Amino acid sequence: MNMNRHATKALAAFAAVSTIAMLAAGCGSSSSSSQQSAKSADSTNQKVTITFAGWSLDQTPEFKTLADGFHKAHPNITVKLKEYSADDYDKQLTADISAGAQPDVFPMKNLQKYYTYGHESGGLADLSSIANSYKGNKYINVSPYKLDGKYYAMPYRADAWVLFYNKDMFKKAGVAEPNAKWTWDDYTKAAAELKKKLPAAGYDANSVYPMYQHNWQSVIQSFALAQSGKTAQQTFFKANFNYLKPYYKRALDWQDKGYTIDWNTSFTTKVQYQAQFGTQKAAMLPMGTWYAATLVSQQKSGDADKFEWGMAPIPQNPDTKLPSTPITFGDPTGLAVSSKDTGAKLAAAKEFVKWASGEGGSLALAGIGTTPSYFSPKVQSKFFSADGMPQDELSKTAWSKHDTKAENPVGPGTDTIQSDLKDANSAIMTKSSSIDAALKDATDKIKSSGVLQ
Amino acid sequence: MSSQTASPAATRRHRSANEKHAHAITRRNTRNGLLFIAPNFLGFIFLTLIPVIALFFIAFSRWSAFGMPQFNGLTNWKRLGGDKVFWAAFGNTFYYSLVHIPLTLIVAFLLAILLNSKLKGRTFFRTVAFFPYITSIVAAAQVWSMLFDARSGVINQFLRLFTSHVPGWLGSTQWAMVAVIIVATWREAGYYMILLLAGLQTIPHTLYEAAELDGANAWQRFWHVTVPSMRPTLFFVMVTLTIGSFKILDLTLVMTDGGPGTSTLVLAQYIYRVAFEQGDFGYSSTVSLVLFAICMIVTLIQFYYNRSKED
Amino acid sequence: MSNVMDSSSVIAAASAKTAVIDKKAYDAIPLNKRHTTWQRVVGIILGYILMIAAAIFVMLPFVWMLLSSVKPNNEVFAVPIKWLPSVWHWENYANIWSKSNMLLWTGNTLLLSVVVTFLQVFTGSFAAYGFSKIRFPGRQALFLTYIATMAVPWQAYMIPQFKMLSAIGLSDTRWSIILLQAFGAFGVFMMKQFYDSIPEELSEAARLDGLSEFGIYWRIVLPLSGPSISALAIITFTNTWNDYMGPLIYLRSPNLYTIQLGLKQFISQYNADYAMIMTGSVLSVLPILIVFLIGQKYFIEGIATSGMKD
Repeated sequence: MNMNRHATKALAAFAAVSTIAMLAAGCGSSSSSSQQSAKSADSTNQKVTITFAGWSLDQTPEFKTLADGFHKAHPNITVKLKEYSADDYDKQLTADISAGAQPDVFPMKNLQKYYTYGHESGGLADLSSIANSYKGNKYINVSPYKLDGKYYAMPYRADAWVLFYNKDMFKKAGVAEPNAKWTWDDYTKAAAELKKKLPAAGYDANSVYPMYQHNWQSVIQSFALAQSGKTAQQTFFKANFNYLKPYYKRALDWQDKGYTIDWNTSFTTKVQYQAQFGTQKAAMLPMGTWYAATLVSQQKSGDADKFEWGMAPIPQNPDTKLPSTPITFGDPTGLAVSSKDTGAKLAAAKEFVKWASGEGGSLALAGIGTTPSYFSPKVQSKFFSADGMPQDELSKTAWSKHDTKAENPVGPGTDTIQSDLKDANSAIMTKSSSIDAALKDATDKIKSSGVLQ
Repeated sequence: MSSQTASPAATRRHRSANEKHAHAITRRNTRNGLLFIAPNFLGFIFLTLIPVIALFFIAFSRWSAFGMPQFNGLTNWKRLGGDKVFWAAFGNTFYYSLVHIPLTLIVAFLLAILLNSKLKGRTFFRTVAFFPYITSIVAAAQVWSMLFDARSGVINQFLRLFTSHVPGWLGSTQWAMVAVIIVATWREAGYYMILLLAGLQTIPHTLYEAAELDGANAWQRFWHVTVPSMRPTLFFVMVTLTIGSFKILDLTLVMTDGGPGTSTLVLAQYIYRVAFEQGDFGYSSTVSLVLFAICMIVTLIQFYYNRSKED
Repeated sequence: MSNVMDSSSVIAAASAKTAVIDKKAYDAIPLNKRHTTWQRVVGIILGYILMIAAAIFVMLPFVWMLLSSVKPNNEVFAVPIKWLPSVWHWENYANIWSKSNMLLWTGNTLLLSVVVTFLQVFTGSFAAYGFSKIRFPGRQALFLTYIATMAVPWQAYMIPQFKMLSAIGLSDTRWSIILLQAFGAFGVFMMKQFYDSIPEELSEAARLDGLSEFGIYWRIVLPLSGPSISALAIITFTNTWNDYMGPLIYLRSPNLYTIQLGLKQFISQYNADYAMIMTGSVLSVLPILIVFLIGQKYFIEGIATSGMKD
């Protein structure tokens, strides 16, 4: 009998608690929709509120910096931030646009997703008028966003991949620092030298490596494609991946000789590149320029050691002629405007995107160490004036002068090709299959999927 | 149990005796039955059933999640036939399920029986058994990756005592799935243990007493009392375990992301990949229907087997 | 069973069947028998050693999570792995409350979990009674439809579902999560199976005595299903508490964030505060633990109280 009474009593108590909780839940629904509706479109000095999507707002200051900076310049427009997830932003945005519920202004994380949204969704407003205002402007490159003769987004940050290196480690080991003319062979040579000399300089031979090659597929594949000297139409979109072979040979060689943590360990134990370079476990790190700001703030907070570091242009393909401007890759991050917007709201949202992509927004972003889209001299000096940024000329050139290709060539089928190349990457780097076999397998899979035109 | 069989027979008898009365009973039962089901069913129809039915249309369409799906007949289904990645995922899903289902069932059942006894500290051990299910999956994947490390991991150090040919675990196409299965079993055994425990507790004790009076030993009591009395619960656990195994996603996503190569790529992850990474929700729905069909076939087999055992 | 039995005697019979059991019957359950021979004692000791070893092994990832929560951020995923932090950052447990909206997230998640659990247990057990104890045409087909929807992966239909809920203005509200989770097929299926194991004679007899269907549900079936209801409650609570994808797709306003969604805030695009994520994960386990400990008491009572009755 005991149990019966208990079960009934527990259920009754539970019911009471839940009813109260349910009533409370009713009060919690968001009130954003009521605030959003700005009615008449005509008067210019009318107060307008636009919503702006950002991710991990507490940890990522760029969104608040843009919102506040813009409000200061345009006091009648308020930018209200909506919180999204850094990891799953595109999932949320897909759902939003699908239901026609996207915010007024929202970032485009990479060009491939931009292509999908721009081409298929109809949820992005035409921003060609802003693009035209930048015509002939050498400080900003809006061409990656050209789609069927129109522009549906404007860049607000333009990170590119450079070579980060630890000056202290190079000095202590007595190895020559990277220069602007490095090829991947020079990179290999320096790694060999560091491998020999670092232990003698007092670094732990078991945990300190000459380099850290992160486990993303782009670390190998996007360099290979950008520097191959051929167009993506000739190679990538034909599923002809011969251009990847020399890059994989080198990568496996580095791994075999212990110049870097092996790919499998890096991948399965989730090695953080910030920790590897920041705590001086690696002397060289190919990474995007966004890492500069992270490193500066981690050196301040104590998450990273204090040491002198610099940026060098990314090493070039040893098998082709050395280009005058170093070729690297990196996708701009853009801002798009909702096609649902009209009137004053649309005007305000466009004004915001124009400001964010131009010198005003770029100065604000450079002030917090973010690599912006508008590379005027004023912006550059602002970026390097931040406390903790390197001051040498090589770092400044590396940061501002490069021929930046897209991380992935953009077109129909890119996502499928990328998925299969990602599988090939893990198969090659774990040595589950040979380079030739894995790439042939990828070619077969891509052909069998029917995405090639 | 007798419940399922007794009633149709009873209904039949009633019908021959008094058709009208039987009709009245059926009407009343239908009304009562639907009343009981209604609160759940209304929510179920709008939130689950309608979107699921929409899926059957989307599977025959081209759809990028935006606008309306465009019907494209059998195009998606033809693509399925030649799609090598799909077939790799198909094979991996079966491999995973066929090993994981019996393994988890056995471990969970043993745990449930052990922790159903008057063992000292059973609350502690039950809680411990449930812990893997509530530990953050990132933490679980991390520690297991370390244990599985080919060179310095505890598991391989132990295996080296017996053999010099130790597996490469997560870095090897042959062993990665085995590692995933081990971790999945570790993670889910406690969860199914809870369900089985609840089932064990509904067995009337008098049945055991009667069996013992008949001279049945522990094994016979288990086989002839516990298992038959547990049949409804076992059916439930088997079906959810089967469906859960065929739909496995989060663990491979965190541990291997389908690699190395496609050696641990499963159907659910392929669905996810095609939909959210490649933006092809039409084809992703097609693959979903395949997964749905597999689950349904296995479930129906279990359903009819279960019924035949009850008869 | 005789037709002249009144309903109270039916209930008495029901409880007699499960609750009043003598020592002998209890011992007859496999593994419960105990004669003290020395082999048995050694066996028991060995068994406990084995179980404690297994327990430590099972808890290892949790221990790692605990230790990681007090590590400097860059040591969490260090290679080779570091078990103990170089500096113990106990202040993480104080800082998380100010560095994040942990309190708000916990409140939101608790609210959702309690409501969803209640609705799932209530509507689930109600519908299960309909499926298990009332015979009406089409119930097998309807029941199979329920099971069938469990076989469809959620990520396949979550966009159509999102469009529907958005169209009626429910996205970015708590209602979306509640509706999403509360009417699942899982609870119905589970409770139905448990009701199937309750002898048919009980409800049949009560029906002949004129007890209404609701009366049978409330006074006979429900009181007998303590263990299964607590199992369903534990599992529903845990799943709602730990759900990530549901809140991810539906919630955008920071004031509605749940714990799992909130913890992901510590990951920005280029950096991740894993020590804080682990701190939050450790804290987020505590409520589940409490629910588990309360819920599993009903498991013990089924046997323990009756075992001690003689």
